[in-house]
Amino acid sequence: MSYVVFARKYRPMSFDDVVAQEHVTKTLQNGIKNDRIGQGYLFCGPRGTGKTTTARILAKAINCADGPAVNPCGKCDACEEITKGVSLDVLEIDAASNTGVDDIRTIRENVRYMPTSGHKRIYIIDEIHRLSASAFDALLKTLEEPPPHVMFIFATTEPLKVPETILSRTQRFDFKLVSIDDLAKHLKMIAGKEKLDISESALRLVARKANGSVRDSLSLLDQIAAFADGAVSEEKVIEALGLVDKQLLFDFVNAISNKEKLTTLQIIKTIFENGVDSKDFVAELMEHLRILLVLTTDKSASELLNVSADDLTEYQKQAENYSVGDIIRLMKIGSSMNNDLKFSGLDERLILEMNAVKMAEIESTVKFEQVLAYLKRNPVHNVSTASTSSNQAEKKKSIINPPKVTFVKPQAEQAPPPTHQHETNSEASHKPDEFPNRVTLPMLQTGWKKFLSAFHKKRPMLASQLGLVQINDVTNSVVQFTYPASGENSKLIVEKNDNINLITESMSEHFQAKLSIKFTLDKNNTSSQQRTDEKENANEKLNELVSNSSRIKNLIEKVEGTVIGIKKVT
Amino acid sequence: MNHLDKLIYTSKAWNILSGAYKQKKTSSTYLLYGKEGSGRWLHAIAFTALFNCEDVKEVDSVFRPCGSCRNCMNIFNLNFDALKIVVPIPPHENKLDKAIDFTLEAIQTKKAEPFALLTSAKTTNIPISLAREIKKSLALRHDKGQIRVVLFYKMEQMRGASADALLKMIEEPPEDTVIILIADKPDSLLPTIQSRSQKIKIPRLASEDMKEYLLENGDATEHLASLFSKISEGSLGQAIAMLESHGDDENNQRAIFCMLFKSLFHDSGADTLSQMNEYLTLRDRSETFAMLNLWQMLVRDVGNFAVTRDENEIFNIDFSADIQQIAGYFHSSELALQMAETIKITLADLERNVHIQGALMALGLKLKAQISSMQN
Repeated sequence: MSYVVFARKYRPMSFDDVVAQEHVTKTLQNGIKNDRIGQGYLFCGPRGTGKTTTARILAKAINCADGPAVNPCGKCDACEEITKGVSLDVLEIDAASNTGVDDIRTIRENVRYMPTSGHKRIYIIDEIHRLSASAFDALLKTLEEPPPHVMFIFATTEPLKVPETILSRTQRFDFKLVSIDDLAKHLKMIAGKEKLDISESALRLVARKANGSVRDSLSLLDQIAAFADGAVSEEKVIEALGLVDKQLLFDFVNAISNKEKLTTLQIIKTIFENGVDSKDFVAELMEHLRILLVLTTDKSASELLNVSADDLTEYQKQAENYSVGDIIRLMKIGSSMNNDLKFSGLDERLILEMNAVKMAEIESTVKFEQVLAYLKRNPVHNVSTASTSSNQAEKKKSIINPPKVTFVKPQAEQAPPPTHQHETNSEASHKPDEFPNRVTLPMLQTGWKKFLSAFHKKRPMLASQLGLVQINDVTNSVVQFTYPASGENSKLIVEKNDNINLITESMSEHFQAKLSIKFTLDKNNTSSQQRTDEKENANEKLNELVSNSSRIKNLIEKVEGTVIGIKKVT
Repeated sequence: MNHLDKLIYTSKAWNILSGAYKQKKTSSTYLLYGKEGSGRWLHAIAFTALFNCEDVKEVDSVFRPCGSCRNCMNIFNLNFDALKIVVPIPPHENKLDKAIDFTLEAIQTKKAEPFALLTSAKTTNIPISLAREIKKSLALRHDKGQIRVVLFYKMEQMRGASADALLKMIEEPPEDTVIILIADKPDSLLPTIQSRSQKIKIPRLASEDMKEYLLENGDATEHLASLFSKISEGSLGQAIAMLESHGDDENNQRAIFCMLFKSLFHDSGADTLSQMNEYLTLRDRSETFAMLNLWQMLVRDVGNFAVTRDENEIFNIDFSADIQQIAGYFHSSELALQMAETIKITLADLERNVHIQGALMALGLKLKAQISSMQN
């Protein structure tokens, strides 16, 4: 158990070793060089960016036997004592454990004493935001006018929780997250020292996973070093850290663009079987979409991305399937997926599956200009007021996907047989001589039950909806079905694009004849339009009744009001 | 110990832990995360045993504790001096003996069933006083030759201030000391804690393995073991809890919840609402949550079955026939997505303490409207 983790073993010992925080280290070094050392410093920034480490280096630089030195020697007694944490002049205090005003009073009493061997008595207070309000206040006087031999260095991840009065008495330094390039470089250096045989791409993967924290990246490298026996490849890193395989993401996004819901669900299953963290999957997916977004915006904007040349070609190929609007919508779903994973408390698999299907369902975005251009080319003469809800649904769909738009033209202009639009699709899919037979009404009536039972095996619910029809007529291979008045819903279901295609194809196959189908409702049916008309009539009557009522007129006069609407209360 | 071979020593997480031991590169702090009841606890205990085992075994190049030496026996019986366990406790008014009682009770539960869920009717947390006690105790000397392990169970229940107080200890623990944090999700811990530990995910258990465990270690019937292992989302602890609370009432309750779900599709809106009113008026909030969670899973099953047509993908196998029947209504995935979203919003509303009946009535009406709009 004498093993020391990389984060501790390779903790920077001089300002030059601190990774990617030059804006802080240079300023501090210049301060030391010019003898402008402050009495209070506040180091803030995210975890693993070097706050406590820099505080210790600064303490060493000031108390070094040769110092104050721009870079501590690291060899003198003072430096060694600080490194070991046993220096009497450098006191590292954990504010989370010493939160009270009494702890600060002790510090106030002790600042009177001179340093034992170093130049200054330095108090490093970590997680300073954890001090209580009264403890902060108790510190104010000492911090503003400390004895000349005393210096304070505070470190915190949450500067917003530190009172203004403290902030204004200290020099604040903000540590920033480290870039992937800097992290990868640092990791490469450490891997070299540890004689780890690890590929460049594997190191970049670790750096990316560390999210800008040096300590995180070293913890991950530690984990990989312990897991891998021998050479470490990208695949091994993926396996050790339970990361998402890039290929899986390409497959997932391809499945989305091809609207293959089943494939997306299978990929989610694989992710769970491989023990990949759901949040990691979403984060990687979002990163993947970001790359596509950049490439969709500008194919040559590869300098904004951290991807290899091989991957770039594949990303560019995939980006061709999307518009910026599509990717933004996918990213919105991804972001809501992330929120659900964090806050909803629902089962993770459920969240991923639902959103995967949602992504596979989205229709391609069509720009408003495209719609306008389409409308210009294909002017709409008239939109039938008697159109059914299914026609309206068709129209909605057609707006989303212009090439399939079918606007209703005036009866006189409409092309001859008013069969369903999908006939053309099914006709196109069969060669003229594929089904040579001609079907007559008696043939159809005789074989109908058999067809239904065969179709029931394929699509039971659809078959049961189809079972309600009556076969009316067969003319020119167009089969006319009629639904009873109560079957309006069933008619709408079977008339859905996919369904009518499937029925047409299955019937053509079963009866060995090229068929088209048409559904109508029984004439006795009360259509939705009629219902609307009746409703409107009733409303008109109600309006008339109300406006002629003298009692209501009186009431309006008394309250000096106006009628903004009339509603029947049931 | 047979279950250890199957459920722990073959896992990827154990492979990583064993690799660290093999290469003598054991980190000072580990964060084992995953669903409660999926074996996080047992991984931690077995890892403690691996450090202190007197006769470590190597099977297929994976190291494992012998399980029979004195140290292993003591560790698996949770009676080992160098193993310190911290579990969340209810408010104890600064009375140390009360805190100890709560901890001992939790340890006894885990000793009897390592996969058991630790639940409490009261709100629990890991107080800062407990964190400080642990810090103090680690400052004391311990037996040379033993590796001390401090196990923080349900670390997400430790408040920010307490966790901050542990930062120094977690980053630089005393010599021969390993700290193991156990949590549901790393995100529930402070980033500063996460970055100081090696995160290892404990994956969900396979339903086949869980079924086998339930059959071997309890009096579950084949049907129940199969059902609970499928619907417990990879958590054996959850499956055991379901099995323990299983009775006629439980069974009826699921059936009623499923019946109400079916009525959304078959009955009129008024009938559905009156049925919900009838069955749920006198019930409590937790039952409502149970019902909505079941509905979520049913929506998932129905939606997935409509896409995959694969019976094996159905989790709630006791309602397999109903699910296949209802799947006929799902001509596109839109309905499943809309319903799942609506139920999710109601669950969130219930978390905010809204009036149960009102929320349920609104939910019933919304779902009904969604189903009708899809049919039209």
